[in-house]
Amino acid sequence: MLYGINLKYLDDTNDSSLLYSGGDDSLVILEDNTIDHLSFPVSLVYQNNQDRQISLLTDRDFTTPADDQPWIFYVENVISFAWETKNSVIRYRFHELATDDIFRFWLYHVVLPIYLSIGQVYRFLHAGAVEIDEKAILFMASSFGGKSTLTDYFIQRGHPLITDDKMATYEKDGMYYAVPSHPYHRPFRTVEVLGHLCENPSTQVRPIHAIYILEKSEPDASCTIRLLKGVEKFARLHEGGEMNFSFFTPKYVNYLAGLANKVNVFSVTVPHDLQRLEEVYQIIKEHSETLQGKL
Amino acid sequence: MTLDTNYTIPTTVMLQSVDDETLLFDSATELFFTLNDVGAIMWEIMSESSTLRAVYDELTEAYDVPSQQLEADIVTFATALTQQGLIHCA
Repeated sequence: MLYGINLKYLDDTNDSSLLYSGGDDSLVILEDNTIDHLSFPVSLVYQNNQDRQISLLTDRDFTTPADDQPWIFYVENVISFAWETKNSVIRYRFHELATDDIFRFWLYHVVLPIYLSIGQVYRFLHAGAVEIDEKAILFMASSFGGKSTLTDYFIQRGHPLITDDKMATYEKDGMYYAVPSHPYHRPFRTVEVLGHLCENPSTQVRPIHAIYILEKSEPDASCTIRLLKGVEKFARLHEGGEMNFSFFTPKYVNYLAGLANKVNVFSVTVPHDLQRLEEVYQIIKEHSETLQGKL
Repeated sequence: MTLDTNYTIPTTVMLQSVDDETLLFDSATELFFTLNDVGAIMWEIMSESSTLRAVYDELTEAYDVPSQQLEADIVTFATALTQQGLIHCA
């Protein structure tokens, strides 16, 4: 199960009996060599990612995605993925540079979060996350801010991995939850690498207990924790937004404000010294364990 | 700018409350602006009107403020909003 969803891989696209008709919570992944990224005129995203040119394409201009709206995520010369907004099928096509590992990298790390964001199943945050006492603890940081390193340290200390990088969240009855993404972790951001298979991944949705925003500081600095409030808290959460497509911005902003009003967010100064990771680990662990309710 | 100047609020500008603070967020610029309590009240009235006269009339009824001071404060607030692109004046 990835992102709370069962994946079913079907291989023979010529057999119409294998086409998925819905009826359960599974997401079908099947090969389709008819996908043509040139067939869609509207490009929403065109940028460099993993040293590849990527684009997200659709067939129309719009303000809100329609349920049957088709999408293609194209990685130049590598792979194409295609789906419709509310359909439980993702099709893919290998291009000349594709391999099975590269296919899984793009599917797990990028395409599933895009699919689930556009389908409004989850809202994503750019965060690493682990469990402490069966609660979700999120780590956010700017690029190279130590998020992956700290997440990796918590994993090594036996805490279940919730997510490596893209945190799927949702709100229900005023509570905010973290959904385990996939069991792979990339402490070193090598391009197009799926990551290490974590031996102890989280398997259940957990309430978000606290969010720690890491502030890299001098090697001899103290590790301190400061509660964020109000506008500063919202602004820091917004900086860590992920999959915030322009057509969802108002909803996403409302969601972040709701999250900010319900979940404790802290700024943590993290000394830039790997030898002091144990100290940072202990301080955050003890802090989260003593944290009760909204401050 | 006067109390009778017409304005519109861009659809990209959103009011949010987090903890005890109120902010305006403009998704076009991705900038945040903090509002104090009086600014938040002014914005709420402005969001349901198209001239500053409505703000003046409501605040005149609700608060014991000299009329010239109130008018100056409203115009100053609206001017600041205009400069940040948070309202557009005709």
